[in-house]
Amino acid sequence: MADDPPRKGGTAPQLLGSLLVAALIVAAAIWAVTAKLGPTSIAEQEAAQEQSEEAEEAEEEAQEAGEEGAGGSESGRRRRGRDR
Amino acid sequence: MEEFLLSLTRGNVSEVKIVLATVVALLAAYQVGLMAVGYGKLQLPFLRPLPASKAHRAIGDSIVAVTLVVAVMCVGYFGFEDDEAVHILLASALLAVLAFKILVVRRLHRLGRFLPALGITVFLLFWATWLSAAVEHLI
Repeated sequence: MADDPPRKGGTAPQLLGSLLVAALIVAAAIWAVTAKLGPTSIAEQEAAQEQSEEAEEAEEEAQEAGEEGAGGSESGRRRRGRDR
Repeated sequence: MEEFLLSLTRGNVSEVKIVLATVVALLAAYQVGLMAVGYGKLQLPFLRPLPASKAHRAIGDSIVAVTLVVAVMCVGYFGFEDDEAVHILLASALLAVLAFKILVVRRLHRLGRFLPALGITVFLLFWATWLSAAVEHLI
């Protein structure tokens, strides 16, 4: 213990200082993470992504239905030609 | 439970969880530094081992409380999803080792020689658990 470097202050100030550093770490972490995540919540981002995926699917379905409809009318024309 | 957590966090369960998990991960790193001073491995001119150890204990109690809140949020809102197996495994190991460490500190004093190893394990598990879940939203 005689080799210990001289240290300033009693136990209480050092303890308070250590706790203050912890509080600063907490504040910095909250600030950094909220700044990184931004104002839009992850739930909202996921909902928006889901909505765009649903819209894409609906568009694809509509396209497929349109192609089927076009094919259907062609076969109908062929059928009508044979009937004549 | 899900509704309670949604109303408590105003629909931001993931965000609150990420913030709290990041706070405890950083505090865990600070705890390692404090105990390095507490065990005399690191000598600082402005901090003696006794206040460093006391601060370690006080901050540790807070970390445990926040960790339990994060665990309840995680299980209560997300449940046990198959695609999060690694995260669930790491988090379960973290809670088990943390509980054992607290037991050694408060009851099983004869196992006190294992505390540094337990502390390092807890620290690594905190970071591994954080990396397995929160980091994807922050990079």
